[in-house]
Amino acid sequence: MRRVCGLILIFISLLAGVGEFFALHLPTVHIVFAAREIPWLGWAIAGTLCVLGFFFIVSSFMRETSHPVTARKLSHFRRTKTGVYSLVVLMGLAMFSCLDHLLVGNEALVTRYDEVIAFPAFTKKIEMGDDYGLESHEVPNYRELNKAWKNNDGNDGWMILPLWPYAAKGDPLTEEASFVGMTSEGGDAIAALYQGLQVNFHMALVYLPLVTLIGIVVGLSAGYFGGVIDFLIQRVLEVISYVPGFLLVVLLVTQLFENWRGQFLYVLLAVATVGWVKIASDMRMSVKKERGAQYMIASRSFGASRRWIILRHLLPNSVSAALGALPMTFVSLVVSLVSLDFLGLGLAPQEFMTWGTLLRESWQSEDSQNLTMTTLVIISLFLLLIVMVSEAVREAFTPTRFSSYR
Amino acid sequence: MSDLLDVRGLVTSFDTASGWIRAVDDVSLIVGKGKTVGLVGESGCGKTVTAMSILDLLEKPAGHILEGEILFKGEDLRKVSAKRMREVRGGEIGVVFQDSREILNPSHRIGKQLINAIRLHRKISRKQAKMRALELLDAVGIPDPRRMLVSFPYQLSDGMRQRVMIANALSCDPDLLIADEPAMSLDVTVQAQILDLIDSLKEKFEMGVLLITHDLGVVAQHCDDVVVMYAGRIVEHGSTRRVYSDPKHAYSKGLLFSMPRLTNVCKHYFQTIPGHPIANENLVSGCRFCQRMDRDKSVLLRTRPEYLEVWGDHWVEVCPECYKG
Repeated sequence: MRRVCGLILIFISLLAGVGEFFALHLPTVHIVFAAREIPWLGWAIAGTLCVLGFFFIVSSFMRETSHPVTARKLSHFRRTKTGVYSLVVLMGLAMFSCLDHLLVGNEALVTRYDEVIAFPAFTKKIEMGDDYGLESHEVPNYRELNKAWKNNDGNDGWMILPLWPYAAKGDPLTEEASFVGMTSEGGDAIAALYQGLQVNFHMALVYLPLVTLIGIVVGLSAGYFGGVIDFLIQRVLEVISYVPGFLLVVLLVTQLFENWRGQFLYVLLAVATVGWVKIASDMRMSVKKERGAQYMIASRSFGASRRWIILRHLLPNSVSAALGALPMTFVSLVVSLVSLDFLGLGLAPQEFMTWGTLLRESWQSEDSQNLTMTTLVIISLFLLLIVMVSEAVREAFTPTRFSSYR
Repeated sequence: MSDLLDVRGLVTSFDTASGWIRAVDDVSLIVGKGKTVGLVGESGCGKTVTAMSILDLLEKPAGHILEGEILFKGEDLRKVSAKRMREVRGGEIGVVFQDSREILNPSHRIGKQLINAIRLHRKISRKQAKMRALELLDAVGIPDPRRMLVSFPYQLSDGMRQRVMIANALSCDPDLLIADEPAMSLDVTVQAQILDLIDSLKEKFEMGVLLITHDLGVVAQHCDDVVVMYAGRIVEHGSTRRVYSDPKHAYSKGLLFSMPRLTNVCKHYFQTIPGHPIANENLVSGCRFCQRMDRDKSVLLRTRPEYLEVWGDHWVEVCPECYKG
């Protein structure tokens, strides 16, 4: 398991690096280099992923069997069928969304014209109409081109289009591609829904580690050091948790981050401002409980340093409390994103099609009930999946069921 | 022979809701190399707090060492740096705690914990540390050390855990072992084995042992010196032979007489010490045992009796009521 994770990580980082180096546009892994303004950041992330992958692989070789209580918790989780199926479907969706423009996009995957094979979807270089013998010097409409070539019995050339050859943005249609309808820009709605799914996963990819890290660090320091630090952190936690969370996010987006309205990072930060509170307070609680345990004093009596005690004893024994809340954090992230986009305060609609944006646009126009309904159903199903996973996790990992204390 | 541990005038105080409580009030004791000193007294009299103070293990905001010197090999442990203190703990002073229940980290294997403890103080490889751990586990009488290494604490009985704990404390051949009721949760045969083990190690490495216990029988058998504590103070101190044969303080007498013997078990009134230990916050500054016995002598309750050497190396708190020469 760990070995596979490690291999995947290394594979991703290599792919991202190669893609960036040869100016390719590879599905999903290009988001490693998403921050265009800071080019070194992408390399740093790719490097980190690679190192992490190696670490996973190395650690998998000196792995001991896991703690029997943990094993029992996991097996209990596996027996909760709804949870497992939901998790499988969710992971399937994640992989599905990773396929990116391999699956949904308006650029051809492979074209062959004039004895030249090209890969328009995978390169940053944009093929123009005159590369394919068209008169105009602009991006060709591959669907039309494909039709024209087919009519000519493939004498001009051939191409392979993605499975769903429509793009979410900048691809106006002349007629509806499916019953779901079109977006307000005249793009295809299914492609837009697909991009909405991708945005959710991309957000979660950055959001969940960020929030967990902040929550764990803050909760740990509040619980471990106590005293003034605990007092201050407690007050901050109280203030944030008693102000209605979404209101705070809206305030942040509209006031503090006004200048960066619609940018991925700032929307994420605004949501994260509220998101870490639950994890931090859970973490604080379990650290407080573990801190008083005898083995902490015993460990000190053997001469362990403070760092050692925190990393070896406190963290492993209290972190599960924080991690159990992760699925629900994902739920609240998705809900916040949809709500923000619905109000038009979220991600910039010029760049991203999201479920919230779709909902808002279809809500406002008269003739797109299909789109409204489909979007709502998809959002509900997606949330349901995560909630079911969360329920199974909670059920299996609740400390009263199996505990390593007697 | 120089003294290994020399505690002088130790005062430890706790900050509680009802004010500062002096849990340990001016305690002095000496543990020589290769000697075993028994620290006896009732529950709550400050034995454990004394031990914790020596290693500076008290919960920081609440517990404070106010006064006194803790000389360990001539070095005052109250003044050393945190780094040096960490070297001393575990490396030079080993501790065994009384409660074995949560004494080991529930999420790590025994082997990992032992190996880590060994490697904290010795620069040896993981493999060597493992060999050492096996040796130790064998030494404390654990039947199948190899299997023990991969067990988790919750899989062991209390007795087994206590032995692991002792193995852990002995892992770096400490110069001083503080054993806080090391064998309380073990049955009598195992208890005897463990104490014999400590004795043999003591002789082998010239280790000093501070043995904290309720069990006067254990003290009689294993200790060279005995220190009797009552309500945070030492009321009597001397060689075991001397104190047992001729206890001077009323409290020590009470303790010794309330020990069951073959001669006093049958059909005799079993002697106990009347009254209960007084709650810490109500303690007087005078003779505290008088307070317990309800001796209505306000003079005795007001001034602390002197602590005097009444015989060669036999010290008693000379309260006129409790001490009758």
